Amino acid sequence: MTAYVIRRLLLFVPMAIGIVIVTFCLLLLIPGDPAAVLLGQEATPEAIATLRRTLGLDQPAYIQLFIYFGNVVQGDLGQSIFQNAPVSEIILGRIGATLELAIVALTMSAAIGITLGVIAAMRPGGIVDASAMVLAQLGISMPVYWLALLLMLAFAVMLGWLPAIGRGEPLLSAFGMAIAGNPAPLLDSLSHIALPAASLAVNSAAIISRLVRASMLEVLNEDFVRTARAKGVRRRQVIWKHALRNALLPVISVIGLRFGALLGGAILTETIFAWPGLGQLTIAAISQRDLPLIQGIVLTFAMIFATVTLIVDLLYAVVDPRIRLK
Amino acid sequence: MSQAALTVRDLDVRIASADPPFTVVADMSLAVSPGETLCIVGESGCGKSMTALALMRLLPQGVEVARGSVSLGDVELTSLSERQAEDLRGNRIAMIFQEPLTALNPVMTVGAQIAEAISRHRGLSGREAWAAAIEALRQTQMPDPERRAGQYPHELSGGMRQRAVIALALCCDPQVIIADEPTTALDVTVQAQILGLIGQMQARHGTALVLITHDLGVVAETADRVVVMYAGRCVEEASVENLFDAPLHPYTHGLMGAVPRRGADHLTEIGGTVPPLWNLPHGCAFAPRCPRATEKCREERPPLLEYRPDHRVACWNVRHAA
Amino acid sequence: MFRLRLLAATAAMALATGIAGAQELVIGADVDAGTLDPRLARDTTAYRSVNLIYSGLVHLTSDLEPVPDLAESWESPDPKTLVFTLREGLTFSDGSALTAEDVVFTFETILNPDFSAPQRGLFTPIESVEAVDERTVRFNLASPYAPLLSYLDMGIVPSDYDGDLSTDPVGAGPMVLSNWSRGSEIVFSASDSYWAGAPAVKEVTLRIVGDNAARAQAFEAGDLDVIQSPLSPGDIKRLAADESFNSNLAAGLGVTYLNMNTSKPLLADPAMRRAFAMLVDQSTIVNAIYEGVDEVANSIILPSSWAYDASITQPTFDPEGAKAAFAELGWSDSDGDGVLDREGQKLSITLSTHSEDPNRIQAVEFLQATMQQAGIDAQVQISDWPSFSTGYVQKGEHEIALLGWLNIVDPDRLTYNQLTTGAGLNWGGYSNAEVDKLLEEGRTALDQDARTQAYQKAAAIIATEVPYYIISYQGYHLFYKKDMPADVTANPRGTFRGMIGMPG
Repeated sequence: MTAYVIRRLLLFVPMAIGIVIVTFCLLLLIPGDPAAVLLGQEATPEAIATLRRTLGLDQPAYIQLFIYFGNVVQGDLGQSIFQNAPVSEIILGRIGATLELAIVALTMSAAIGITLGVIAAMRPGGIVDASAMVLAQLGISMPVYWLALLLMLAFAVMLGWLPAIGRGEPLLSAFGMAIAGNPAPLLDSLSHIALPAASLAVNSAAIISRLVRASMLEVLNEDFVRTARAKGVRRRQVIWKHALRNALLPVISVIGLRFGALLGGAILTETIFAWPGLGQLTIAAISQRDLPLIQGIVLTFAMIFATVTLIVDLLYAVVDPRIRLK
Repeated sequence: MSQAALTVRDLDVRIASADPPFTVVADMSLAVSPGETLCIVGESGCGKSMTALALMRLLPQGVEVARGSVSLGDVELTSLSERQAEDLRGNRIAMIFQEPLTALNPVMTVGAQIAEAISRHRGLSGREAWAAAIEALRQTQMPDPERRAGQYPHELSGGMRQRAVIALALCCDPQVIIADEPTTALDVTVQAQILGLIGQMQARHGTALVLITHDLGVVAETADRVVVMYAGRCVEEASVENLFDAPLHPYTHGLMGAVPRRGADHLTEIGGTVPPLWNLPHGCAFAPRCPRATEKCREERPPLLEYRPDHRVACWNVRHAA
Repeated sequence: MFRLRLLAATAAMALATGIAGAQELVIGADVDAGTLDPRLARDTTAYRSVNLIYSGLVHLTSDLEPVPDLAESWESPDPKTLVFTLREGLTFSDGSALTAEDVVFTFETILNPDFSAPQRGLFTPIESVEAVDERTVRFNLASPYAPLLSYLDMGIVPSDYDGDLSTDPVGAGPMVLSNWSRGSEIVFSASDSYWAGAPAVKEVTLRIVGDNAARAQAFEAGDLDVIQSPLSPGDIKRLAADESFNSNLAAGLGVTYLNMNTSKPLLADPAMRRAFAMLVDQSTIVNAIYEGVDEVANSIILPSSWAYDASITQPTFDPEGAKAAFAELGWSDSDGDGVLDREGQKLSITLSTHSEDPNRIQAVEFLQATMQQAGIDAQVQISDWPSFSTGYVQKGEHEIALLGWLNIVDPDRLTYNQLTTGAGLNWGGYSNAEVDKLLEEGRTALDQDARTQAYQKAAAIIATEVPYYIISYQGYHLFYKKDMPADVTANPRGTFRGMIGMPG
C-alpha cells in the first residue's frame, strides 16, 4: 500500500512540470497585446512600447519561460498587470470561493446521482427506472448557462425563495458560527450557494446516475449479492451496503473527473451568479489579457485537478482492497 | 422416524418472464431428516440448482414457484413474505455456493461477512459478533482464524475460502443446509477435506444436508438418500445403498456406467443430449436417448412409483442392471 | 401574477432590512473597475467610481452643463487662458488640504506622455498649468479650446500621496472607498469631508454581475436596487413595461457605428463608401435587433447636443441605389456568379466586430446578408475585444468594423481625435483638409454659435464621405426599485451622484 502511494506521489512531479510548461506555451499563442489593452483605445504607440518593455513582454519566449519557471518553483507567480498585486495573493484570496462551490456541487451531484442510479437499478425496466433515466437524459442535455439563468428566474425572481447573486459567509466559518449558537450566517450561506451549486451539479449528477445504474445492474447479478441474500440480509442492506460499495468502484474515478468539469463550469456559473471566485476572475483576466494572472489561474486549476486525480487514485486503493496488492 | 427437517411436495418452478413461460422443475418432492444427507444428482441444466434456489426463496427475477409446497419443519416457506423469508435465510436454512471466490464480497473482510450474519440473526454486538465469527472459522479447521478473519477473500486460497463459506452457512446453526456443488471448484485433495468437514459439522449440529452434485463419487461417499433429476423432474429416488445396488432408471444406469471404475474396460456414454427445457418431447423426456424406449414411453410420461421399499422410479420399463 | 409575489417579497425584504437599510444602495455593474486612479481610468465602472471618490474643478449635470464643484468660480481673461478659484477649506478624505498644487499636479501628470494617461489626448491643447496662489489655478492653452470645461470634471488627486491611488484612492469626492473585492464588488461609504456635505445615502455597493441577463434577473429578484445600460434589448423592454420598477429611458451619450478603413484601396473612394452605406438597413437593425431601445442616427452629432441638426443626412437604406452606385464605379456581375466584379476581381469585403455583444454580432451578420443579396462577397470576422481592438482595428487592419463610442459629452469628443488627419484615434486613416479645418475651428471657437456652425459643416461632409457611418444613437436606460433611499436624478453618463441624493 505504501509503495503504491509513494509511486503515485512521485508521478505527480513530472506531471506538474509538464503543466507549467504547457500552460506557458499555450498562453503565448493568444493574440492581443496586454500593454495596449491596459492603456486603452486612446493610447499612443510609444506609450504601448514603453509599457511592453516595463512588463518584460519584449523578451524572447524561451527566456520568458525560463524566468517564469524559476519563479514558480519559488512560489512566485508573477505580478498581475492590471491589479498591480502578486498573482499568488490574488489567487489565494479567491480560490476558497471556487473550491467551496465545486466541492458543494460535487457533493450534490454525487448524492443525487448515486441515489437516483441505485433507485433506478432496484427495479430495472420499471416506471421509476424509466423516469430516472429520462431525468438523467434531460440533465445531461441542459447547458449550464441556460440552466443557471432558468434556476435564477424560477427561484430568485419568481418565487423569491433564494437570493439571485452573491455569496454569504464562507461555509466553514458559517458552520463554526452555527455550532457556536448562531445559525443565521449558515442559513444565509446555504441559500446563496444553492442555485450556483445546483446549476453546476445537474450535469454531473445525471452522468453519475447513469453510470451508477449500469454498475449496480452488473453488480446485482454477481454471486456475492446472492450470498448476502442467502444470509438473510435485508434487501435494503443488500443494495446499499453490499452492492453499492462494489458498484461505486468505477464511479469513483468518474466523480474525480467530474470535479475537473465542475471547475471549468464554475467559470460560467460564477459570472452569472456573481460568485466571487477564480472563475469570475478568469473571464476578466482573459478579456484584459492579463497574462501573468491567466497563467497563474490556469496553473492553479490544472494543479487542483491533478491533485484530485491523485486523491481519487489513492481513494481507490482504500475502497478496493484488491488494488493494494499491486 | 423423526419429523423431516425439510419437506418438498409437488414443487413446480417456472420461468414466467420467458415467452412463452416454461417449467424448469416439475413435480419435485423430497424430504430430508435432521442429520440426514440427501444428494440431488443430475447433469447441468437438469434443474437441480433451480430447485436449490427455490428452497431458499432465492429464485432470480422472472422465475417463480408455480405450484407446490416447501416446509421447513412446520413453516411453509412458499407463503412467507419477503421479510419473513429473510429472517429464516442464513438462520434456519442456509446455502453453500459453488464458487467461493465470487460468492464472497471482495471488499469486505471474511470475518466481517460472517459477523454480519451472526449479528443479523443473533443480535450480537460488534465485538461479540466478531468473536463468534472467529469461532465459526475455527470450527471449520481454518488455520490461524484470528488473522484470516481480518483478511479479504482474494487473500485466501481456494480451500480456505470454501471453509469461510461453510463457516458463513453454519455460523447460525441452521437446521437445513443446501450445498450446491460445494467441491466442484476445488482441488481433489481439498475436496475430500471439505466433504469431511461438512460431514463432521453436520454430525455435530444435527443439520440436514441437501447436497447437489453431478459427481457420483461424492454421492457414494456422503449421501444417505439420493434423488436423480433429469430435465427438471425426479426420475429416481432411493437410499444410497439401494441406488448403487440396483439403479433402476436407464438414465441412472447410464450415469453409473459413465463413471470410471477399476476393472471396467470401457466407459459407456449416454447418446444424445439433454433436451431443452422449453421444448421437451411429449411423453418421457428421456425417451429419445433411452435404450429401453417403447412406443408407450413416447406417448405418456411415466409417473414416479415405488418399485420396492425405499426406491422409487419413473419408468415404464424398469429393469435391474445386468 | 408573480409581480404580486415579487412586490410582497420586496416589501418583506425592505421591512427586514430595516431603517438602516434605507440608507444603503446596491448598484449592478457589468465590469470591474480597472483602476481607481481618475487619471488612468478607461472603463465605465472606473469612470463612475472615481466620480464618487474624487471631485473635479467642475461637475457635469445631466444636461451636460459644467457647474462648480471644487472650483467656486472661473473666468477666461483671454481665449487661451482659463483661471479657476477653488473653494475655501477643501480637504481630501484623509484630512490633508486640497490646494492649487494638487490641481497642477493632477494635470501635469496627465499631460506627461510617460504617464500613459488614456485620456491624455483630451488635454493636449493645454500648454501649462500653474498655481497662482493657494486657491487659484491658471490653465495656459496653446490655442483656444472650447470643450476643455466639459473635460474638467477630471478628479483631482493629492500631490503628496505616497500610496497607490489605483488601489487606495484618496479624493475629495462625496464618498470614500470602503472595500474593494476585486472582480466582485466595490463598496463606498459617505465621506465626511465633501464640501457640499455628506450624501443622503451612506453606503453604496457596486456589485459586479458580468452577464447582462443575470444582472437583469438579479435586479428583478431584488438583489440589486439599480441597474443601467448595457442591458439586452429584451430585458430593457420587459423591465420598462414592468410597473413594479421605476425606469428612466433617455438618449444616451454613445453611438454604434461602422468604421470604414479609408486607407484600404477598396474603400478609398467616398463613392464606394457611400454605396456600401446604402446597404445598411438602419431601421431593421435598430427596431428589430435592438428592439427600438436605440435611435436611428442621421449624422455624427448626437440629438442631445446643442450642435444637433436633423437636416444632415447620411446615405439611407437603398439597395437599388447601391446597385446603381456600384455599377457606376464599374462593378457588375459580368460572369453571372451572383457576385459583383470588376476587371476580374470580385467585390469582397470583410465586416468585423467583437464577440462580447450578441446584438452587434447579429447586426454584422444581418449586414452580411444584405450585402450578399446585393451581390457583394461579404465575410464576417469576429474575435474577442482585446484581439479585435488592440490587434486589429487599432492597427488599421480592418475593412468595415462595427463598434461604438461612449461618453460623447461634446461633439469634439467624437470627432477631433478620430477624424482629423493623423490623429491618435484615426485608425481608418481618414484625411480631409476641409474637415481638419472645421474641426479645429469647432475646438477653438469661443462662442457656441461659431462652434455649432463648424460642427454642422463638418458633419455634413462626414455624412457624405462616410469615414464613419453612424448606425444608431444609443439610449441610456436606468431601472431602479420603487423605494429608493433618495430622489433619483438620472444622468446619461450613468454616473452615480444622482442616485445618492446629490444634484445629478
